[in-house]
Amino acid sequence: MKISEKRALVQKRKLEEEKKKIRLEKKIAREKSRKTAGKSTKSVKAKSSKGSKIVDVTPAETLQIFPDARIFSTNLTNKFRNRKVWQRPDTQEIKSIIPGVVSSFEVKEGDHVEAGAHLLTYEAMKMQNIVLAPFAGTVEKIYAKVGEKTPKGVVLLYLKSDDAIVHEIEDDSTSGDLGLIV
Amino acid sequence: MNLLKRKISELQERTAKALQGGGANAIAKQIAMGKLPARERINQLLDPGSFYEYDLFIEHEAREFGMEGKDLAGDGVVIGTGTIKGKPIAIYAQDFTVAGGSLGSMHARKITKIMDYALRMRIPLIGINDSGGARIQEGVNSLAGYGEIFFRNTLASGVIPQLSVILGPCAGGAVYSPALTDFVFVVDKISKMFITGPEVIKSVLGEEIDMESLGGARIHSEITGNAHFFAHSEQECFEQIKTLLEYIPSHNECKCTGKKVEQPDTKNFKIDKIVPVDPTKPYDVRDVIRAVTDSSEFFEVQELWAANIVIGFGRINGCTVGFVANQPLVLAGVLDCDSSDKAARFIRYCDSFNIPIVTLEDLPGYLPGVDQEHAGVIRHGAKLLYAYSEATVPKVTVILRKAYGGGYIAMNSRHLRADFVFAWPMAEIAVMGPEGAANIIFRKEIMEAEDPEAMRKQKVEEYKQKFANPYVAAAKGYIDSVIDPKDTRKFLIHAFEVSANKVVKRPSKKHGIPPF
Repeated sequence: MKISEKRALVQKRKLEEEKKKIRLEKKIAREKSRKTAGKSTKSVKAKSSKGSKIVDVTPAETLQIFPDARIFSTNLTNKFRNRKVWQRPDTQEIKSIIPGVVSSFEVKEGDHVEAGAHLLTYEAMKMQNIVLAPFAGTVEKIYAKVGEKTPKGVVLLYLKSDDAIVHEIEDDSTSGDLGLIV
Repeated sequence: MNLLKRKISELQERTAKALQGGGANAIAKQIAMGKLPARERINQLLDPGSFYEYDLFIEHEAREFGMEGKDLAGDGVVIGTGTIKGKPIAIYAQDFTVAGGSLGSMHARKITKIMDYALRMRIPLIGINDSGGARIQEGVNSLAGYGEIFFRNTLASGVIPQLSVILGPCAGGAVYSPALTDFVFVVDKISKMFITGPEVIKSVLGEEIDMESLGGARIHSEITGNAHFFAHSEQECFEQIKTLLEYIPSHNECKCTGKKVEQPDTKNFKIDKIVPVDPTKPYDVRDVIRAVTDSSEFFEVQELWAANIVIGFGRINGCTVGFVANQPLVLAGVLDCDSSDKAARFIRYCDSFNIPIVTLEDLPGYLPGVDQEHAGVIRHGAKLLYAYSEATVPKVTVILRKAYGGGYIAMNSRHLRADFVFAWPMAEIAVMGPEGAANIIFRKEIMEAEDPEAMRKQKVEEYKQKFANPYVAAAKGYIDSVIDPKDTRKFLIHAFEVSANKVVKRPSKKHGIPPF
C-alpha cells in the first residue's frame, strides 16, 4: 500500500470518529432534555456491554422482567412506550362496538329495563344493529344523540345494574403457587 | 403357588400405592378447589371400564435440591388409551396432586410416549392440562420435555385430532402445547392460561390484575380466541368433547361412515322466513344452518369469540360438514382481523380432515377503521383468502343476501375455486353497497342536479335495480344457480353427492407460506 493511500485512510478514520463523537454528544444532549422533560429524574446505573464504562440510562429504557432479578438496559419500542395501562372495564357503560350512527333510542333516561330489552338501534355497516340490555338495570344517562356519527368505543348510554357488580373474583392462588413442589 | 400369590399381591400393593397419586390430603385439596382428581376425570370422560393405564410405575429423575428422596407417583401424569362412545382414543391427564402436576423429564416422556402411540395408531389424542409448569428442580431437562411435546404436537397436527382440555393452571411455556393443538376446552373459574402471571405483570408494568381477568376461561373464549369451547363445569366440558368426537374423523384419511339421516326440523326453522328481505335487518344465521342440517343439529366452535362469523359442524345427508357463515346479528357480519383468523383456521382444519365446507354468505365487507388497519387487517384478512384457495375438499357457497367487495371474493367465491356457488333471489352482489357506489359513479350528476338529495335517491335506486341482484353474476357464470331458499338443503345434498370423489391436482411444493 502506498503511503499516500495509508494517509488518506487514517484521515478518513479520524473524520469518522469525529462524526461519531458529535453524534454521541447530540444523543446525550437529547436524552438529558428528555430526562428533564419527564417527571422522573432518577437514573439507573447499568453496565455497558464492555463492562468498563458506567453509563447513565433513563429509567424508561430499562426493563426488569422478573422481580428481584437482573435489570436489562434495552431499547423500548414505541408500541411498548405508548401502551395503555389495563383498566377493568365498566360493563355498565354501553359502548359503540363499531363506528356508526344511533338511529333510534328505545328507552328514556330513568327507564327500568329487563335483561334482553331493546335499548337502541345502531346503524353501522349497512345494518340496523339492535343493541340489547346485557342485564336488568336503570338507564341512568344517555350520552349519544340520534343521527350523530360516533366512532368506535364511545359510551352511548349508562345502564346502572340492579345487582351490584362484583369485580373481586375469589382467587386465592398466586403465581407462586404454580410450579410448587409439595 | 404361594410365590405367584405373593408376586400378585405385591403388584396389587404397588398399584394401589401408585393410584393414590399425591395422597388423600392433596386429593382433598384438589376437590376443595372445585376440581376432580386426574383419574376421576378420565373415568368420567371415557366409556365406563374402557380405560387402560400405562407407565404407572414411572419414577422421576430429579437428583438435586433434595428431590432424590421424594417419591412422585407416576411422576404427576396419567397416560393411557380407551374409548369414547366406542371410538378409540389416547389420553394423558396431568395430576395436580403430585408435585403440582409439574413437568419433569419423565413426566414429559410419558406424555410423548402416548402422543407417539396416538400418531402411530391414528387415533385422537386428548390432553388434560392441570399443571404448575416446569419442574424447576429439573432445570433444562423439563424444558427439553416441553420441546419434545411441542414438536410432536406439530407433527401430529393435521394427521390426528388433538384436543387440549385445560382443567387447572397452564402457565408459562406449557400453554404452547394447547395453542398448537386443534381444539382447546376451558371451564369457567377452573382454567387459567397465561405466559406471565399477575405478579410479574404487576412488578414490571404496575398493572394490577387477578388471574381470572388475566387468563381465565372467559377471557380466552371471548377476547383472545385461544379457547374453542367454554363450559361451566367439568362435566359439561366432557359432554362437549364427546359431541365433538362424534363429528370429527379419527385421522386425516378417514372416510365418512355416514350416520342415519334425519330431516331438519322445518317447523321451528322455516328457511324462507328467517332472512328478512330488507338488507338492513339483522337475523341469526345459525337458524339458517339449523334449517339445512340433519335433525337441525349444529355444533358451534368458538361461539363467544369473533361472533361476527359463525363456524361449526353439522351433518348433511349423514356426513359431517363444516359451516362458515357471516353472522349479521353481530357487527353486521363484517370481516375483521379476528373473524378472518377464526374462519381461516377452521377451514384449514376441515381441509386437513377431509370435511367438506359450506359457506353461507351475507356480509357488507371488511370492517373499515384505523384500529383495524393498524391491527393488520390486510395480513389477517389474507388468511381467509389463503385458506379457501388452498382447501381442496368439496366447497359450496350459498349467498344469502349481501356479498360486497373484497368480502365477496374472500367468502369462497367461484374465483377461489368454490365447486358450487348458489345464490338466493334476494342476493346483492356488487363491488360496494348501492349508496356508496351511486355517490361515486354519479357524483357529477348528483352535484349538478337542482335537488341533489332527490337525484342521489334516484341514482341509488337505479344502481340497486342494475347491480344489487344475483343475475349480473349469474350472467357471467360466477353463480351456478339462483335458487329458492326452500331448495337449499336439496342443492347442498346433491352438490356433496356429486363432489364425493373430487380430485384436485396442485403444483408440487413442500408447503405454502400462509400470511400467519
